[in-house]
Amino acid sequence: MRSYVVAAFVVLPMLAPEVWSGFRLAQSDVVLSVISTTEQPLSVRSPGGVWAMAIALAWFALAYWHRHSTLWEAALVLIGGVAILARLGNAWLYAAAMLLPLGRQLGLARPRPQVMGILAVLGVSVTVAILLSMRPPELPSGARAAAASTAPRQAQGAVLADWRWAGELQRNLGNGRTVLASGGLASESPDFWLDYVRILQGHEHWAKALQRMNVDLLVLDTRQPQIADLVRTSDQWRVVFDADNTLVAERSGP
Amino acid sequence: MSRLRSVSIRHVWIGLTVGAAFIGPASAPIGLPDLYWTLLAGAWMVANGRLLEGDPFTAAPHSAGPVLNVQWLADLIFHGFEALGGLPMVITGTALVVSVTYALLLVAALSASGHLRLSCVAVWLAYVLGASNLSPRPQTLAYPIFALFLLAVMRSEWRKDTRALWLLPPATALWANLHGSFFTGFVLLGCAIAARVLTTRSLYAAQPYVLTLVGCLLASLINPYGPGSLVYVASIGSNPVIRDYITEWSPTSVSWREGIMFFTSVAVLGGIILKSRLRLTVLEVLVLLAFGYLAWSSIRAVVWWGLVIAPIVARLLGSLLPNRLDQAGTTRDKPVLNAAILIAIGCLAVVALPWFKSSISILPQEKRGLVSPDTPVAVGDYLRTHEPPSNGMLLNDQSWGGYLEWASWPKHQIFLDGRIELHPPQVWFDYLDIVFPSARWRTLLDQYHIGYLVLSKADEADLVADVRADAGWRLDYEDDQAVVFSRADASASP
Repeated sequence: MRSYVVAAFVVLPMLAPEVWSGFRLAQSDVVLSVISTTEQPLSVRSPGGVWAMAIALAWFALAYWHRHSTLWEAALVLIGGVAILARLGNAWLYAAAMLLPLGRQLGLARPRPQVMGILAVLGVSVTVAILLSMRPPELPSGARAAAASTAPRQAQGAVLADWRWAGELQRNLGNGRTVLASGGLASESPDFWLDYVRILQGHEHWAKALQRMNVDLLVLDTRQPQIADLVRTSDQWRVVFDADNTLVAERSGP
Repeated sequence: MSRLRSVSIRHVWIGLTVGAAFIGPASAPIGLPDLYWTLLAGAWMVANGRLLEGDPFTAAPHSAGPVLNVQWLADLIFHGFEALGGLPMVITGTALVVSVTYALLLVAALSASGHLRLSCVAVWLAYVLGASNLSPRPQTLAYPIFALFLLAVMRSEWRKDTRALWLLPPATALWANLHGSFFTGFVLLGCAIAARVLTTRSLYAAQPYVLTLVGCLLASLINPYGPGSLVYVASIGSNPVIRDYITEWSPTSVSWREGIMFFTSVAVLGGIILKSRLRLTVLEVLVLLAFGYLAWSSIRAVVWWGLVIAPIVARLLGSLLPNRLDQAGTTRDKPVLNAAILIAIGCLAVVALPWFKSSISILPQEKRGLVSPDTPVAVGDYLRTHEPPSNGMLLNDQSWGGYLEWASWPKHQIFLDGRIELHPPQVWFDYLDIVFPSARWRTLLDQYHIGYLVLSKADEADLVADVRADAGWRLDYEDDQAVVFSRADASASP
C-alpha cells in the first residue's frame, strides 16, 4: 500500500498543468497551442515534460530490472503515454494511468523508506514548481474596476479579454455583459481562436476582426506588446487603464 | 555457373536491404531545405578559387562577425555531382551515400547480433525512422561516417576488434568539413568510454576509446576555422530563431510524422527489451539514453536515433525470433531464384534513377519529377529571365530562398534563405511580421528598402491579398503557386 502512496506522490505533478485552466481530455490543436502550453503535444520543453518522461522511464527500468511486468501494466502505460503525447493537458489521465503500474513496480522494488520519502518530497516539489510556472497572471484590481466602470457605457457589444481572465471578468461584470471565451478554451469555435491569435499578434486586420466580433471593450495583457501598442495608438480605441501589465480600452470610434 | 550456385538467400537479404536504401532516395525528388544554396556556394568557390568567407547571396542585414561555412566540403561535393550530371546526378550521388550508410549499418548490426536476417530487419527499421531525412543536403553526407563510428564501436564491443577505431580520427577530419553534426560521433565514443569505465571500474580498460576520442577531437580542428568550427556547432542550437521557429529543430512531438515514428519506435523497442532474454549492456543503455534524449529534443536528431538502435534491436531480436535462416545453411536455397531476385532489385534500382523514373507508372505523380512539387520552378524561371526593378530589394518567401538564389543569382539577390544564423534575430522577427502580415508590414518593407516581392500564394495568402489590394504595388507575375509584385511607382525610392 505504501508503494502506491509514493507512486501517487510521483505522479502528482502530472495533475498540475490543468489546475489553472480546468481538466479536460482533448487532442492538441495548432491554434490553441499558440495560446496555451497545455494545448501542445508533450515535448521536451513542456512544463513537466521531462518529469513525465522520467515516470515512464522509471516504470520501465523497474519492470526491466525485475523482469516482471504484466500486460495490464503495459496497456495502462501505453494509454497514458498516448494521452499525454497527444496533448500536455491530458497529463491528468497519464497520472491516473501510471499510478497502478508504478505503484506495483515500486512495491516489487521495496525501496528503503528514505528513498520513498525523497520520491514523495520530489513529487511535491515538482508539483509546486509546475503550478507556479503555469500560474496565470492575476487581473489587477485597477483593471477590474476600470472594466466595470466602462461596461455600463458600452453595454451593446462584447468584451474581449485575455482568455486567462475572461472567466473572472465575466463573474465581475455579471450576466449583463458577454465576455468572450469566459467558458474556457473549449467554449469558443476554432475560427474565434484564430481571430483571437491574430488580434493578439497585431495582425494587419485586427481592427476588422474586433468589429466582426462586435467587441467594444478590451482587457489585454500588455506582455503581448503588438496588440497593446496598436490599441494605444489607435483613434478607434480609448485607453481607460494602462498599468500593471494590463490595458483596458473602450471603443471610441466606429 | 558455379558463381550462380553460390547466390544464397543471404545475398537476397543483403540486396534487398542495400537496394531499398538506394531506391528510396534515388526515386525521391529533391526537397527545398539546404541543397540549393549548397550548390550555389560550391559553384561560387570553384569559380573564385577560394572559400566563401561572406554571404553574397542574401541581401538582408547580416549578423556581426565572420561567416563560418563549416560545410564547405559538402558544398564542393554537391557542386561536383551537379557539374557531372546536373540535379539527376546530385540525387544519384546522394542515393549512393545513403546506401553505403545502411550497408555499414548492416555490418554494424551483424557484428553486434551475428544474425543477418534480424540485422536486415533492424536496418529497415532504422531506414523508416530516417526516411524523411535522406534528401540531398550536407547532413546526408555525414551519415556514412556516423555508421562507420557505429561499426567501429560494435566491432570493438562484440568482436574485440579495435582496428576500425583507428579509422575514426581521419573520418572526423572529413566530417568536420562536411557538416556540423560531427559532435554525434563524440557522443557515441563518450558513451563507450563511460560504459567501459562503469563496467570495469578502470579508465585503463577504456584506453582504445579514450585515444580515439582524443584523436577525433584533434582531427575535428583540421578545418579552415579551427576551434571556431566547434564554437559554431555549440552555438547554433541556442539561436532563438532556429530553436523556436525552424520545424526540424523543434522538440520532437506527435505533431510531426517523425515524432509519431520516434515514439512508436520507443514503444516497440521497449517491448523488445522487456521480452528479450538478453540483457542490455551498459553501453547500450547509455547510447539509448543519450541519443533518445537527442531525438526527443529535436526532430532532426531522429535519424541518428534510428541508426544507433539498429544494432541493439538486431541483437535483442536474436533471442526472441527463431533464426532458421541464419542456421539452416544453403541446402534448401534456390540459387536461380535468388539470382533472379537480385537482378530484379538491380533493375529496379536502375529504373528508379532520376533519368528513368518518370516512366514508372506506379510512382505517384508528385514523385516523378526531379524536384518536389513545392519548389517554385516557374517563378524561378521568371526571375532568371527578367531584370530586377530599378529600385529596392527583393523580399521572398524564406522557404523558397535557396531555390530562388540558385535559379536567379546574381541577377537577383534574395532577402533570406534557410541559413538562419547569418542574420540577427530581429531581421527574422521583422520578416515574420511582414509575412504574417502584421499592421507594420508596409513600414517594414520601406525600412528594408524592399522594391519587389516573391510570395507564396498558399503560405502568405493574407499578405498576397493585402498587397493585391494596395495601389502602391503592381502585379508583375502570377502562377498557381507564386506571385511577384513590384512598387507601382518604380521611380519612387522605397
